[in-house]
Amino acid sequence: MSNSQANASWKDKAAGQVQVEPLLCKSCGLCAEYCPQDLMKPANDIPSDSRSGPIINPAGHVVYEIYDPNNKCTGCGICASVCPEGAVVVYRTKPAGKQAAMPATSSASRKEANRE
Amino acid sequence: MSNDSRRVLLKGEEAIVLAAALAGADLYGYPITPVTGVVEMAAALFPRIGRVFLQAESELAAANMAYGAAAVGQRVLCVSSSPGVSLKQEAISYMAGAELPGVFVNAMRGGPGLGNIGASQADYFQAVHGGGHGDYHTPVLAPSTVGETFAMTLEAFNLADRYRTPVMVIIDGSIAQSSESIQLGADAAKLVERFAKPWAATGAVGRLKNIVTSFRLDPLEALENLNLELQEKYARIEKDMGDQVVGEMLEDAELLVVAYGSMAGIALAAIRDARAQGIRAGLLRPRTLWPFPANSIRQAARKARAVLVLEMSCGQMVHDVRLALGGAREVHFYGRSGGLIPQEAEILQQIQAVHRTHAAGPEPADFAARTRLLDSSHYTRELIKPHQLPQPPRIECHLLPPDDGQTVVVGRPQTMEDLPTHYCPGCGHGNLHQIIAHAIDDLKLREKTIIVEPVGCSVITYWNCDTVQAAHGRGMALATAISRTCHDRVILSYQGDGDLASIGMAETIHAASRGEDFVLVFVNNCIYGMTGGQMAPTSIPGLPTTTCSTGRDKTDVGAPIDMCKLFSQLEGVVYLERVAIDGPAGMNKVGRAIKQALKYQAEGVGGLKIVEVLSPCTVGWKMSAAESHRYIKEVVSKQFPLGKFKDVAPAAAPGAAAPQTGAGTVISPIHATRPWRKIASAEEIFQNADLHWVTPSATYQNTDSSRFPRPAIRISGHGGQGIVLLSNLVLHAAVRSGRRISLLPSYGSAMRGGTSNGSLRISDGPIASPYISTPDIVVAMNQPSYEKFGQSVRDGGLLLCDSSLVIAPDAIKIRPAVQVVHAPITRIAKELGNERMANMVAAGVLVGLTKMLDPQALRDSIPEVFAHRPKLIAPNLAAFDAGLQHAAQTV
Repeated sequence: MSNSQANASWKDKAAGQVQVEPLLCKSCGLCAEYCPQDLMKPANDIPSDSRSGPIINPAGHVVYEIYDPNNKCTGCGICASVCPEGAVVVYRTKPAGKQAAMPATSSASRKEANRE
Repeated sequence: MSNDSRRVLLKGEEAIVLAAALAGADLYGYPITPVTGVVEMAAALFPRIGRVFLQAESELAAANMAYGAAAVGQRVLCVSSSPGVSLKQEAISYMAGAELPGVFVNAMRGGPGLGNIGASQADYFQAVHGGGHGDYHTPVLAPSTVGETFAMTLEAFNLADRYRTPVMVIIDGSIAQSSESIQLGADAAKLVERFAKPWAATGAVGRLKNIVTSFRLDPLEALENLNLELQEKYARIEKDMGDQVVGEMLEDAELLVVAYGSMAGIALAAIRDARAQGIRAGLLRPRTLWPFPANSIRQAARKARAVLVLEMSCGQMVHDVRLALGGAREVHFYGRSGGLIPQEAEILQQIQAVHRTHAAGPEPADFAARTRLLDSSHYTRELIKPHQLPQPPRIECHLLPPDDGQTVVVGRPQTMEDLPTHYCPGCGHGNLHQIIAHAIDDLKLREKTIIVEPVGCSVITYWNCDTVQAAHGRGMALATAISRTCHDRVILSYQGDGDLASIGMAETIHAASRGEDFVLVFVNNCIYGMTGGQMAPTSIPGLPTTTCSTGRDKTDVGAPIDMCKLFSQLEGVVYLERVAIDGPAGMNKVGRAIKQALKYQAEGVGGLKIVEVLSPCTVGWKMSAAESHRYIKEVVSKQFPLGKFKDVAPAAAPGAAAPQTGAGTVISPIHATRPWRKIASAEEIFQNADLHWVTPSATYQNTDSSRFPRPAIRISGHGGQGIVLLSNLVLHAAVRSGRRISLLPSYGSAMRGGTSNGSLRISDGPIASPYISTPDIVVAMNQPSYEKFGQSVRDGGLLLCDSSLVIAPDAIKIRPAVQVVHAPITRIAKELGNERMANMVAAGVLVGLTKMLDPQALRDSIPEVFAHRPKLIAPNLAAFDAGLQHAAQTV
């Protein structure tokens, strides 16, 4: 599953997409506190057809997710920058003709960095 | 050395420093009697040969600096004495747990508590059975002479590196302060082995990260695994090292004497006396105390009827001897404690008493049965096999790379592992980790970064770069040593408020004052988080904690400490900013401040770069994440105002600046690879060490050694009479004449108050102990010395008094069999124009009377002794000749 599939219903319209790693979320609520559009919600407040992951993670925390039915996410990145766990990644649709501003930082690329 | 016959007059202290220099070790020291000469010599020598010497603010800091330097692969030496070694136990335990090599020398002195500075062996338990906390051993080496101290200190570095363990070398003040003549050539450097250290946290360049830590929390079994692995290592050390003992006259010994260190030397002299009386005693001297040479002791005890253990304590090693013998032999003990060195005569009496008890009576009936107990196969150590427990599955994240046409606005930083943290929801540590890791990523410093982890909530490392785990409060000490060892690396010490401002305040202030070259991130959450929310030095009034339920009471515990205010006073700090994790804007500022500090560090801007971060502790404050952010904005940042306090770093010219030192100057640009400091050759070390070399010669034949074949001389006087110089001159001359010598001067507080004395031995064979209880010759240069030592001269000996100053010869009764000579030594010197040359006159009279050395050997030694003050050579030669002439008239 790619993140675009996860947010298939509104992917094509919103400028930003937000993905939360459910294993890392501790339900502190800072992303919700600081989201300028008030889009971050605990998963149990999100209609089931808009949820992309579990409501509760193995550690027992209610996972936060973006709920953006009206495509308001601007991709500002505040939710990710305030997340103490680094559980949030924000993607923004790239303006045509520009390179990615920051390299992908998945586990795979991190391992590569280690091997360098 | 080109001339192999050359000998060097070496003090115990100097032998230790020289061994460290040859081994390529750095020294972090703190002055303590009786080994202050170590820091003094290292301070002069080490900078000249490219080694690090730093006088630390405390014994604790010195040992933890050694811990830091060892963690980045540097050889380290710490030298101290009993009370100082007690303080060093923290670092020794951490190093044992983190499996780090290091050499610790303890010149044991009388205890407990402050005790005194006399020679002692009272720290046997501490070194062999105790030390710091935890289930560990350190190899313990016990040299008994200066020469052995040199060789064993060198060997200790090899052992430490080979087994990745701290190694103790235990001596005492009488070894540290005594001098011997030693044949020392460049081949000494061949004793040094070198070991690769792939585990060192030198920056993860081209390899996976290294973590240096003794911390094992999760899963719990991991700590048992570590302990079992350590035990397996200790079994290997015991097997490899075996029993290292020296036996003397053991072949037919009925009475086995066991003693180590300087006690063994005195014991040997007493055993020789006992042999002369027909008592068949023998000495077994352990050279290592752990591993304990139990098998050798059992072996030696087979023929013996009884065992006598001698120690300069109330009986410590004797327990191990009894365990080794398992009741098969009666083990007697004799010791003196409190810094007293037993006299030969006392020991002889003990040997006689034990001999009377056991040799006189019939052989006990069960002797043969008990001897079977001495079969060493009964005592083979069972090896504990470590069992490998399954490691916890690593939880990896599944955050996805961006699709085509997308960019990542904020992602996870490379410098952090994909692991869920153990932090509470909303904890500021999590935010700060992300921010630091992003800053390191952005500046591309991951491979060059070494992070020092504190004790506190952030004790578990999530960094994807090299990390070193410090003891509580010692982060600054570790980072100090790491930055001095790896000055081309980005060193970041991450510390909390309790760690930095309470238990580690001394280390903090001193590192800041010195302007150490690293980045300090100070996480101030006004509470002890990990221990469950107790009051911290920065806890503010109104914030309840578990030890101040209504908030800090200023009238009782004072106002919270404002660290930025303190730091801003110190010249060594070049960058100082306080920021807060109180929302997106605040976090941006945190990121900017940390990036600036790291940038300065990467550009080689010398001095301490500090970022204080006000950080929420949601659980400790009993607030939600959002509430805690508001609390920082509204309350905490009123107590601790935000802002930049200092930024005095100049803009660094990239890659240009010549190395300089001092706060605020550009030290060096970052190098891609770490240039290990070159280790100086033996030649370079010898040239720079300011050693006293003497070349023996066969030309000095004008002697008569019939009266004093192996003179034991005590020279005593008051400060300013040049007693040490006089002793050194006689030593030089003796070594020039090809003889062996030892000198034990009075030291430490014994010198305060104006008395000074030296014990000299001159011999053609090995000298067992520099300690003298009944001298052949006493030179009393004033009345108090006369009264103190006049009666100690043995029958047939010589008591030489300076009649100018020994004004009341009747004050004590001198034994009739002692030759007493009153010579107007000071008056002769006065007549020659300088009272201060009385020491040279005394040398002349002494040699003239005794003929124990060729006067020409002394004449030739005077220019060497006065090499630094050539103007004094001629008058001192004249003074010596005047003394000689006076002696000729007397005879």
